[in-house]
Amino acid sequence: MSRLTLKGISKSFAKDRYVIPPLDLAVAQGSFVALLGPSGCGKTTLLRMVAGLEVPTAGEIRLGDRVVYGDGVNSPPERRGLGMVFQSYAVWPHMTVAQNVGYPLRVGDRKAKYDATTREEAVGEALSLVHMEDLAHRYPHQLSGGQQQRVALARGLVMKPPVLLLDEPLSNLDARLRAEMRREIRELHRRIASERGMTILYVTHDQREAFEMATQIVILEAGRIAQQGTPEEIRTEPKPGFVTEFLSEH
Amino acid sequence: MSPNALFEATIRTLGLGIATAVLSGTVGLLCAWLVTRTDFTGRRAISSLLSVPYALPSYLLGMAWIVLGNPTVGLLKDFLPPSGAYGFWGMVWVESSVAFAFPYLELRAGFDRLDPALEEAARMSGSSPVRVFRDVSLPLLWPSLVNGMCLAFLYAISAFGVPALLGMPVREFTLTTLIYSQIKLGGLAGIQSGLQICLILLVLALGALGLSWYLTRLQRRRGGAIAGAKSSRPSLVALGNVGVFVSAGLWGFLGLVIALPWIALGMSALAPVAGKFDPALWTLSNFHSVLTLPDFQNALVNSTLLTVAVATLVTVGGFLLAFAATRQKKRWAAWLIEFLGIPFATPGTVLAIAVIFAATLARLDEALLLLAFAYSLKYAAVGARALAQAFPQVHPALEEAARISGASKRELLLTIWLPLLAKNLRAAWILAALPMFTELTMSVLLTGPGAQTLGTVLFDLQEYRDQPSAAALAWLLLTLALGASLVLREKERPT
Repeated sequence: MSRLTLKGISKSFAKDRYVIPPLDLAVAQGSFVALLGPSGCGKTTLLRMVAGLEVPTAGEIRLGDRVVYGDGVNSPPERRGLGMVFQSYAVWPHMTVAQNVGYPLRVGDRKAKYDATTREEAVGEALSLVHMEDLAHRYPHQLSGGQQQRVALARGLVMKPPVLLLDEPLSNLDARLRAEMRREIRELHRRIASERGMTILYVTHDQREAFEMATQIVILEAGRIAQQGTPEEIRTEPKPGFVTEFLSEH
Repeated sequence: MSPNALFEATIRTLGLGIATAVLSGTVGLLCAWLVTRTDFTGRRAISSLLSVPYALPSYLLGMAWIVLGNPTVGLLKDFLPPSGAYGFWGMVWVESSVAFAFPYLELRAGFDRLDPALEEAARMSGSSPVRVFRDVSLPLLWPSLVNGMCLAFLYAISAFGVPALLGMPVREFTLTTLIYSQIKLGGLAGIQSGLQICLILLVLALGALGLSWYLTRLQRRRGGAIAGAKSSRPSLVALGNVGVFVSAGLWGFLGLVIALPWIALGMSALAPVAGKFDPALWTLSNFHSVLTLPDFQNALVNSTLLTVAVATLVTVGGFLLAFAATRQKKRWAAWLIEFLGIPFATPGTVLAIAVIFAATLARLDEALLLLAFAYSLKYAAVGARALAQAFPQVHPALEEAARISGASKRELLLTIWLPLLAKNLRAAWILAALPMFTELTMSVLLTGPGAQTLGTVLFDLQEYRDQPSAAALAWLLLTLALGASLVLREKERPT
């Protein structure tokens, strides 16, 4: 059974003007799915609907067998239990690295499950995943862009979410750092996916990121799925038309 | 003047400032959060209407609240304490009904600049909207809040009209009304003791100004850390059924601070005698008597002349200054614009006393000239600031294309910047003209016989002669101010 299921999900900002026409997508547990497409194709909107930050116009979203949107249900983002990494990092400037990363464990349902000791352990573990344990007591302004992005990643991982959402997380980094982070995120996914089956949904316009890291690639064109498959399948048999053109552009 | 009276007035002024700042800050924060972060219906209209009080002269609202809250004949007397609208809390209420716009505008801008991802990251971490507000929004935006509260404080301690209308009748003096009563005693002794009180008022004002200046710097420095990287729309908190009540509550609040005073003044203006509100007796005689009053006609000419001349001067001056500062990168111009902020923030009473003092030394005794000088000094910052913000919004390529085409500096100003910034110039002119046309605080100290302004004529009518006529004039001025601020609101919208 799939970890994340979208059924007939659509979004229109004005009547009959769909950013995303009804769309189906099933994401298997433990997979790394890249939503790939040019800017304006609706990939970020799709991700934000999964997160609960954007309300779909129609359709159903399921996490496992739990309906989080549809049938009159609209679970708010804080109740979906997902991790998310933003393009602008969104590391809170008034909290230290450790406070940023520990925040998801100090609020909502998880507050009761963690005490100071277990929280510290979880924060340490998350920070070691991104190689940031030494900088736990720094403030964000004392960090480089790459380090801030690692903090954001650790914050998304700390509560061991079933699904981690990433919205163009590398687009603000320089080329060398991007290559390094691509490698690290791929390693991270392999390790965590085998341990606890974490699923990743990753939005990007950069083919390289999609082909190097993902196990599944979904190419979007104006809100529609143009092609879907493993990197190997897409590379060897790209659909003629939009996909072929898009892939040859870079 | 006894030292006791001075001490009492100082404490009362401080209290008025702090109470107004706290009430304004609370209301402003709530409104700003609701209109930027929740999804109730009509939030666009409410968001922009909430900035309207900013342009209303508070003493006109004070007169309206006297109509509403007069202890014997007021429309709302049954709902108010025995003293009605008079006294300390009456002053706090009326000042706050205008001053809440300062923290509101500061915070609305703050929320708009704040990267929505910072708040969304907290929601994804499991925080409820209220918790997000407490853990993220407030810690990041407190400088905007406190800065707005400083401005509200400054506004309240500098006010003359409201304490004169609502405080003096019950012998509750603030520093500004105490200075006024000293100056009205006349002679050098009056000016001297007025100067002494000015010093205290100036210290209070500079304290608030210094704090506000520091916080603006702080926020600018932190700006890079919290401003959004890409312009994403924040996800709004779904209020669901509560949205209807929020919407109703905000419309009710707008009605209470804008519509109700306007209606009250209108009814009072139509009443034949103060306190008789029966529609069957309505008459236009108050309008007739005020419009035919020689003092009024004289004042209308004076105020119109002063406003047109000085507003045009500060707009044109501000345009040239802003051009020099932003396009030509002239340091002196940038400094001058900063410097003009000082007289702008100085309480009008202090400024007027300084002008009187300087005029005495220079043996100058032309009231209209002194008024023009005081108005220019006070409102020069309005034009310069509004335009200094407008210049950088125009893409540099538009100017560069004209320069490559061979335009001289003068031609550049006339053919590129003037037409491109025509809307901003008009807005700056209205922004400067509006407070001058109804100015009271400085005028009441600077006007002499034969040189009345609309503000002082209105003040005289209200205090000593004919309240229904005063209501008629006040209603006309309030309607004008409301109209102008609605025009300004339209201008603002595209940005």
